[in-house]
Amino acid sequence: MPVRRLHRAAVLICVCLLVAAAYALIGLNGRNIAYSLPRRLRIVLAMLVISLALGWSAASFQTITENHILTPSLIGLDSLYLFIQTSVVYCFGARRLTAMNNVKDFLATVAIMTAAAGILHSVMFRGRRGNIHFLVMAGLVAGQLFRAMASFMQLRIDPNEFAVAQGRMFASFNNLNLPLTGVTALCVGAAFIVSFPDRRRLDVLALGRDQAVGLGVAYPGLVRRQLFAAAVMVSAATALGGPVTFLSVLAVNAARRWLHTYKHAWMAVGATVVSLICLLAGQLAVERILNFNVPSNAVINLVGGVYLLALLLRQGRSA
Amino acid sequence: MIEIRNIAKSYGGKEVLRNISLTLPENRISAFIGSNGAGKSTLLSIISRLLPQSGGEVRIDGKPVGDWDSRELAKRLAVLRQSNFMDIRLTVGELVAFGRFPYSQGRLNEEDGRMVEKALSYLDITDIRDRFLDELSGGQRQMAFIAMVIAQDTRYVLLDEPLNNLDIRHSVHMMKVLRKLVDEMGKTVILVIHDINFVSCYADHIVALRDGELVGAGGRGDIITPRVLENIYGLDIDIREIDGNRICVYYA
Repeated sequence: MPVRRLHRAAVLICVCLLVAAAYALIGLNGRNIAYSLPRRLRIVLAMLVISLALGWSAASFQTITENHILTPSLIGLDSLYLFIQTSVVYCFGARRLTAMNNVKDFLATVAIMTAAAGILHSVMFRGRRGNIHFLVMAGLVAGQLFRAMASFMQLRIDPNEFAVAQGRMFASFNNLNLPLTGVTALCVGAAFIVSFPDRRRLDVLALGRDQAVGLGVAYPGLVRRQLFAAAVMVSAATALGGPVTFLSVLAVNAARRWLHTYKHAWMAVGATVVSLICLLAGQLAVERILNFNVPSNAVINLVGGVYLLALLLRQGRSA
Repeated sequence: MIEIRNIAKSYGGKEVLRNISLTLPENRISAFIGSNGAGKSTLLSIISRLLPQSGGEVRIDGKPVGDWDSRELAKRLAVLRQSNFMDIRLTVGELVAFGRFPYSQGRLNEEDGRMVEKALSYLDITDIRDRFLDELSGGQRQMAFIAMVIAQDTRYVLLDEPLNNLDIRHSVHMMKVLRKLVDEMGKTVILVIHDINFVSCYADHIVALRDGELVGAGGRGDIITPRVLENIYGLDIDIREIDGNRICVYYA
């Protein structure tokens, strides 16, 4: 079995390398190589950071919530991101947003989002026995609230300022916030280093909370670490590439099925590679076939949304 | 030794356990009996630190449950709850290997491999080790979970309704295995169980609960009597002696 799994992981990585090569190399010629190649390579790097952040955070989040169709985005973390960006424009004007040092702005956003995850977490552990479903519900409602408040503010601001805010909020893959790649990579890397050593404890948690506690997993600490790491990763990925709600559901489930595994070490690799393939293929389609007429987030959300529906239908049938 | 002192539990004002104090004997099968909602499973969950108590204290080998390092406690006490629903696909062998988690944190060594083999052969399920759990019958699945608990190799084994959904053959097999755990391996087994005839024939120590209160604890001679059983279940139960066992007749 492990040999076949290794085999399948290798196939996945090869496909990914092929797509990456296609994206980086198609259409290059002597005149544009000096400009296009470094730019494309930076985009590939940024997408790798986003893929790791979304893939790993969703894998761990699904295990913690014991639900295979949830992602950290669904509990409102990316709505909160939209809300923060809009309020900056609303309160201080677009000039403030553009003048603000990118990295400082980014770090402040990550800090606020992590604090929000902390509040959600403390709500969850208010009773001594943590109730993860309550956390998810609270997050869903809070996410709707943030989204509604953000669109209210968007309606009230000056159209010119709205255009600036929109560019920031829907940092799409056509318009990656490339100057942030370095600091985002650092944040995602740090969160990954903190949360990845828990991979075997997460494997046990897949048996259910009671079983994991019975086998000696220190449950509250594990949930706290994973939740904070997910908050950092999702905010970093969203700042860099904009919200892609459905990508991580697709990536984790496809990895789980393709590699036939419940082990989080495999899922981390699988989900990262699958989402990188999706991002690159989506970008390739948008740039070469659709001539930039459609934002690639839309393409990816379309594919991811269809996959999520298929997943729901299949679960509904088997239950 | 497991000592339970003044344990109370309430959910939002509703008391489900009141002032329970008892000591569970070492190297014996102890059975918690009582009607549905009497608080048996709640008490088992509190002893095994799956549920916090509202008052009182449980001591495992002299140390309050809350003071134990969770990994060390997992080498001393194993617990199996009633519902073992999972949405991951595991083989029997993979499940049983999870029992070694407290020792090796997921990286199995040779010792762990030996313990897994031993647990599989102890329950006579070595031949189905590569089958997926969702392909098995309820009885086989239950045996796989018990094998995981045995692989955990703890002094105390706590089981919540291990006979639930088992046919007669599997039930008898299960009770014989538990008897062997106590008699041959020196373990202490604590069960929540409904079938009082299995209790009467296999348990050494019986703890009876009614409406969250302790109504009796002792050997089968003390508890399996018409008067005590009437007090627990509110039923007239006839007790016959058959080959030295007290059999309860309550079908009439």
